Amino acid sequence: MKSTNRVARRAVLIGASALAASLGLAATAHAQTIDDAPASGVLQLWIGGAEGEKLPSFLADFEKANPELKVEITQIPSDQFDAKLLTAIAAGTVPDLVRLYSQSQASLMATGAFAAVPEGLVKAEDFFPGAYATSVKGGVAYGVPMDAYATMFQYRKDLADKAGLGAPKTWDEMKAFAKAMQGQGATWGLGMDIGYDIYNAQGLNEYVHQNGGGLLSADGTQWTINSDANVAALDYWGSFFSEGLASPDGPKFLDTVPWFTSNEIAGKDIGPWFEQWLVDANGREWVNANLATAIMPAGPAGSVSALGSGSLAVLKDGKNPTAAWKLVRYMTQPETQVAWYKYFGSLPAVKAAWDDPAIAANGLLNAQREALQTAVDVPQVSTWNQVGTYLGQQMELVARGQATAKQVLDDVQAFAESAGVGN
Amino acid sequence: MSGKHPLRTALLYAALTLVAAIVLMPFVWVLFGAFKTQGEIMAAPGAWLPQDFSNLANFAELFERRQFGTYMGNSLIVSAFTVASNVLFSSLAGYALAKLPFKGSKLVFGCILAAMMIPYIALFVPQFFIIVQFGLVNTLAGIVLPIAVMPIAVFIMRQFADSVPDELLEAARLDGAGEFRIFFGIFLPLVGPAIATVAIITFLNSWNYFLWPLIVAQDQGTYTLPVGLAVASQAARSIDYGLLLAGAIVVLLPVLILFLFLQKYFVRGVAVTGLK
Repeated sequence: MKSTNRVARRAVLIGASALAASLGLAATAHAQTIDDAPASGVLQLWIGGAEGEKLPSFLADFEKANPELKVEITQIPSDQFDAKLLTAIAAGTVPDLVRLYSQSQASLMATGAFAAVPEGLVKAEDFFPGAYATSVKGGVAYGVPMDAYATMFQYRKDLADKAGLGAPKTWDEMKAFAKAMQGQGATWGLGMDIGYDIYNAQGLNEYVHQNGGGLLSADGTQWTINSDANVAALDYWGSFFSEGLASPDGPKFLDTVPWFTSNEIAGKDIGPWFEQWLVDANGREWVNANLATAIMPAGPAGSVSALGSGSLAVLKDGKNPTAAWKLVRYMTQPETQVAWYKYFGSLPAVKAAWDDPAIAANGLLNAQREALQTAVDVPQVSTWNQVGTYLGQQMELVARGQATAKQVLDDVQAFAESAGVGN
Repeated sequence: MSGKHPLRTALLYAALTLVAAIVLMPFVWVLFGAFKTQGEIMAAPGAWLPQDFSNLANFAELFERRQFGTYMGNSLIVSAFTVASNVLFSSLAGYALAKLPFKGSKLVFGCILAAMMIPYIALFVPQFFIIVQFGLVNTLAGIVLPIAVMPIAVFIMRQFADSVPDELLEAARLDGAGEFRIFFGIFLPLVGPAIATVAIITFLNSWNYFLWPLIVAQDQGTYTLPVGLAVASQAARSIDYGLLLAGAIVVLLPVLILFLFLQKYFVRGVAVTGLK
């Protein structure tokens, strides 16, 4: 059923993308500026995820400061956000403002339906560099990051303390750490991403960058999936399975919390939301006593995490772009970012917001802040969905010892070359 | 026959009971999950029983804060109009195609068969363009229109109509009855089971319809239940599983009630069309 939905969704995406592209929606940069006068009219915002539930009440202050403005927020299921927006772009029924996901926004950006960020609206250097770069095409920014996260190495502090270990800092130390955790009773040393398809590939993207590689050439025009550095990175990832330090059968999705709690695994590369999952399941006291976070252990080229971010983008065919940009500016002020963190929990994309005690006082987020400085996004090309999904699926052959890293990456390279990099 | 082999019958029933239990297990898990908190599900996703069966917080949240009343109303309206429209127009079309020979009727029927074979996803974007042109974006009418007459419904009615004896209709014509009188007075009462099958199939289709209502709706006031469920169960960087499971029960309940009352027509529908 799920796979049927995926196929259906993909068919809509492809159909709507082709149509949107064929309408000749070429992107052009505008040297528009946005004044400080109150916004007016009706502003339509489409947003996926749970944010849409909380945003209307959060924007009460903004609406008070802009009494002539009415903000209409439509909450959309995240899984279908791209299909809905692509169809709307093709049919010309777009809202004024949307929140895009970094993992999937490339195919939306390829339609050329977004307006360039007006000059002087925000300063690029105020944001974490990876998050800001996600929406930059040909030197022009088409979106402004609203939230950002990076994966971290999260581990059982109590078991590490017993073993007399701190967080592993290098690839070699990560192996030794996993073995030591097994010595402390953990069934598997670590939980590695497995069974997540495209998210496995996102995880591998970290390791290839840690090894000085990359899935795309520097100019973004060629796939470089089977480069020597990438093969070595996948070999390293696969060695956790072949050496019995990680299970090829999990943890998957909801298993992660119980596996981590019951010593099935003692560490995992996972995003900052893991802390709240553990609080929900085990309580704050358990988390304070047992959870620690660190940046990802460094490979030969350093520590690199996977980046995820959400950006606000204004549609060229929207009816009220001026009000939309004013809301973008408001949402990316450091004080608004802090308030939104307190209200909803999204981590700020604006660096200055991290100095606020509300965030700075949470020791578990120190590693997050550090990781965000160097975190890397998935390849921002419109075929990433197909290529990343296939790569993620094929990686499991390595985890199960059914193929070598070289064989898998050669195969995925051939697949990716046939898919191309899109537009 | 089975009375002669009591052991065989007992074994057969035991096997069927076991298979039924296995098939029902996921539904029971969903039902029990609807009474769990997010913490309970996170801590032990595989656990069966909730800590407290009187915990109705998920249901209360859905109806009090997540607009489930609105979504359910929209779903009922969409399904009611879809069923009524399909029953009326597909029986008219089925009658005409089977009992009123006219030039090109085979071509028309061929086109209907062809329409059944085109995946609806291929028509998705052009359909949306048409709805935009009609000014029906963000309306329940825009959701209903593309499924107001489903090719499968016309096909079923045409096949059933074929089995109605021509003599009955001829006799009515000889008595001076007009075509509409024959259609409503004689034909429709004879094809009751076909109408029930069409009603059930079109109800299930429209009730579970997801992607199209999502695309047509431009604000949450026009969302139907499946779309509303997908929205309501979203949590920060996760899914609110308690809400998701409670919502699934709410979506499932009308179908379950319908099934209990119209069981034999469901089975007939599956047998006739091969669709579930």
